[in-house]
Amino acid sequence: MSVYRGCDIPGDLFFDVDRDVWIRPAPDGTLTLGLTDPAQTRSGKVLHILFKKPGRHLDAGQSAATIETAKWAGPFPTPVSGTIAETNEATFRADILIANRDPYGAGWIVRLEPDEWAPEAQGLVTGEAAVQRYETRIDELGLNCFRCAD
Amino acid sequence: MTASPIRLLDLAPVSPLRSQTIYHAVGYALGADSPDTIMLVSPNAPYVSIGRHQDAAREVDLPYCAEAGYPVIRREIGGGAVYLDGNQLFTQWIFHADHLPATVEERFVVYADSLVRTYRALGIAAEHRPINDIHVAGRKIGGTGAARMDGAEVVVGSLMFDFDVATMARVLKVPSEKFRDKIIQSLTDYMTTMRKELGEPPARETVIAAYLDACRAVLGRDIERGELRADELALAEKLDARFAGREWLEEAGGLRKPFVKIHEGVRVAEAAHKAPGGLIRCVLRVRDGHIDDVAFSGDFTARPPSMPFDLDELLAGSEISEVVVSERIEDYYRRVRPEIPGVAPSDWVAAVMRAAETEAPA
Repeated sequence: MSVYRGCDIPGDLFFDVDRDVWIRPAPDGTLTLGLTDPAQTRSGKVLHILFKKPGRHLDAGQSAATIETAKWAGPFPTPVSGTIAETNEATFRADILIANRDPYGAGWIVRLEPDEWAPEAQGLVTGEAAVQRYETRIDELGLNCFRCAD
Repeated sequence: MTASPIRLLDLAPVSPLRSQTIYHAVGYALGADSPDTIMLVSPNAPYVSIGRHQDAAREVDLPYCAEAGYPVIRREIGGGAVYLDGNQLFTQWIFHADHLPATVEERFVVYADSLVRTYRALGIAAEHRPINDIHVAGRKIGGTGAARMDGAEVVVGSLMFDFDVATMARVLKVPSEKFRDKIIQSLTDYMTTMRKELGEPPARETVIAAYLDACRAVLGRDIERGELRADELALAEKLDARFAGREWLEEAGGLRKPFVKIHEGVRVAEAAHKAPGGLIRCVLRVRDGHIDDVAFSGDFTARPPSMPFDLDELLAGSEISEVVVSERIEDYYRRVRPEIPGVAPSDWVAAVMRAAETEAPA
């Protein structure tokens, strides 16, 4: 885990830096997706989340859920195309701030069965490359992360 | 950030539907070469706008709106249901995401500053109350919100020439008429408009000139009058169909929030508590963590009959704390010795605390 200006960037995940989405591949071939720490900082406390249903196929860039924070609303875009296998709706129902508290763990958004998994070709970065991209991005944005639920 | 000029779209009044779809269309049509846009528009007829994740049937009195001829239109911006008409000038910013500050809070600082400077230029002592309210001496003047639409970050708000408080309260679905009265009273007490502040609102052109000066100052960029592009208009027409459809209006809502937020520090909520002696209904107005106003009703029998009103008075100003509220009510029971079978001090406290629990998210 790398921390830069308060922003956690775990080196073992894949990132779409422009969309501010992380991806964790599982041994069964599915992908778990979630909001990054910079993303939850930028959008603020989650107030509502409306998930697309499991079984729905999404193209890359399409929204897997719409998120409303106290002052903002926007999509949660998937960086890769695939079919929604599972959403984390039950966890959000119990704790709507879970993505603010634990963006890389319990606060994941959806699990996807990807059409294909070719992270480099899909513009994803991981490890030190991801950390460097985020450090540059965080500087450009003048961002300091904090867990909005605290 | 960028130094390129901002396009101004100062539109003639448009239909209620188009007053919503047009800024969504400009947002979704924003391409790499598109300019940042400030759009000014008013609806040519009244309507009700609901937030992105609200349940229309639970929040809005749909039969009344249908009868009165008010369309109900879901927007992609969050927040609550609001009655809108030609007395508001919508001020919509549709910008490339990296041309605005990174966080929502920082974006509102800039956006609110443009509205505050406008009101001040018009002689109204407005100030920004973070995160996204504009206040004049503790009263809110207009609301603001934000959303992401593909590559665009959109921030919306309005300049309030006037506001129809009674109709706003009428279009909401509320648990009781007492609650509706409280909404009217609260909106009257805690909202203001250019008409309220100045007697007569200034001419639209005067307000727009002040607003554009303010935008130039806060953004440090030129603003040039422009026109809608054909692709933006074509997209608006597509969105008209989607936004007018039942599927979009009836999309499942999010969590139920049984309160109405008047402004950042003030909300009205209602709750009921079943005591052995009857149902106690409590309509509560909370201001900055204190009971600003409370009204009890129910099917209990009390002597003196003034008891619910006595409790209304003695709880006004109390901190929202079970201990403090209990102390005040128990003191009343000791002093007055009311006859109210099956209703103990703890029942009143339970009703108050249940209403207070409908906490608005920060």
